Amino acid sequence: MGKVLKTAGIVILAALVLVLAFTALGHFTGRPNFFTRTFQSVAAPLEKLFDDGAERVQAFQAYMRDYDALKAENEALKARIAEMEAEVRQSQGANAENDRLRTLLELKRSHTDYVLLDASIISWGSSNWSSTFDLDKGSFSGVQTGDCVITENGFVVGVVTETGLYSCSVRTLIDPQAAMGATVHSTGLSAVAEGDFSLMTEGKLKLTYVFENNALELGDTVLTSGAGGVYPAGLVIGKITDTAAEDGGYGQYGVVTPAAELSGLGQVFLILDYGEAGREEG
Amino acid sequence: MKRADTLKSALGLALVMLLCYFFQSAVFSRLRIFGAAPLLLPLAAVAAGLLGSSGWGGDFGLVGGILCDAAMGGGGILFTAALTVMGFFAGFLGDFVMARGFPSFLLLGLGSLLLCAAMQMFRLLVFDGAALWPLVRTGLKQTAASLLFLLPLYFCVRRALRSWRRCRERNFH
Repeated sequence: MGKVLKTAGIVILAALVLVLAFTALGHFTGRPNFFTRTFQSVAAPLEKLFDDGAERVQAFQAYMRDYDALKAENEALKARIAEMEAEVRQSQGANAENDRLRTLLELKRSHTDYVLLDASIISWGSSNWSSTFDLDKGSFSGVQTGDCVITENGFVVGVVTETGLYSCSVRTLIDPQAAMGATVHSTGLSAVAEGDFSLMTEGKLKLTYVFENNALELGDTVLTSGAGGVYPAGLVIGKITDTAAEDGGYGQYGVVTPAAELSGLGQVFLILDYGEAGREEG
Repeated sequence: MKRADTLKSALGLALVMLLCYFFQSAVFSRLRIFGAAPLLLPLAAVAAGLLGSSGWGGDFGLVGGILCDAAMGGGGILFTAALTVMGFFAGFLGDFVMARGFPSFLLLGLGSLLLCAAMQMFRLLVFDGAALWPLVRTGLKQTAASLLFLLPLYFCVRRALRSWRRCRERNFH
């Protein structure tokens, strides 16, 4: 037992001497010694952990100290964001109106004979059997029954069916009672674009009186022909999105999706008058 | 006293009609129920007749009809004529044949809605050559959507006519 203790004491003493020697050497040379490096390597992760914890505590203290100021700043920023969002919305609205008017200007340039009047939709008809809406312009502004209604792009919307002093009713082109002379743009084929009750519920209309089979192609643009005198020639009705054989097999009919997006309409334009150019094809 | 009660009821009923008009023309023309806009004014006209009298039904059927035609757009007079007759007829049935309660209103309301749908689809079916099934489907959707408002309208019209009914009962006794 005594021998063991004696041996252990010698080993410990030797180790201590060694450590002291390395330490003294590092001290005099100015370089970290082996033990320091080893300790630093082992302790580094733990040290990092503590450092992180301290940093968090410090940040929390700072947060608690600055909470009121931050809260006030947050409120101010929220208010500023709301203001900026309102400005953006206003700007978007102005841009949209600007675009509409720019497009209308193009339409006016290309159709100098058109006498146009802008109007806003007051309300849509509540009937499940027709497609109508009321506009905020009437006979006081020069609107007459039979005036054609278009979008700023020159897409057909409908026709005025009734006129009051300060408002008028418009029957849209998909209404079952609507009908207009039409031309298929690519082929020059004449037909009649008319509303159909079944198609009205899908927001579409029918291109009928096509007495040739395979005369219609999907994607063909359908324009007004000017026949009938209500709609000037050359206005865009829509595109053919489907075709089928007529009952009895005589010719075919096309399903036309209107170019004007009726559900999104807010502002439209009435053609109060148009010149001979619009009647040519009629 | 009687005149004041009558006037109060008439104003209440006019208010109900106006509310029905605004809901039918402004709200339900955009927000469809089961894909259809409900008809409120025919129900209000029938309720005025059944819970009031044939006079109330005829008068407010006329008012409701004018408003209904205005809500529909297109300048027709179909509802002006139809609701006057329906309101008067509902009043006649209430006076002499049917009890003035909700089951009677349910029956007459359903009948009036189906009749309105039939009248509306008639022109399309006969003159425009529309297919029958899409018309029937739309008519049924419209009727189903309108039936949702049966109970609220019953209570609104009954509340509006309360003063006049009380007065009539006092006179009767």
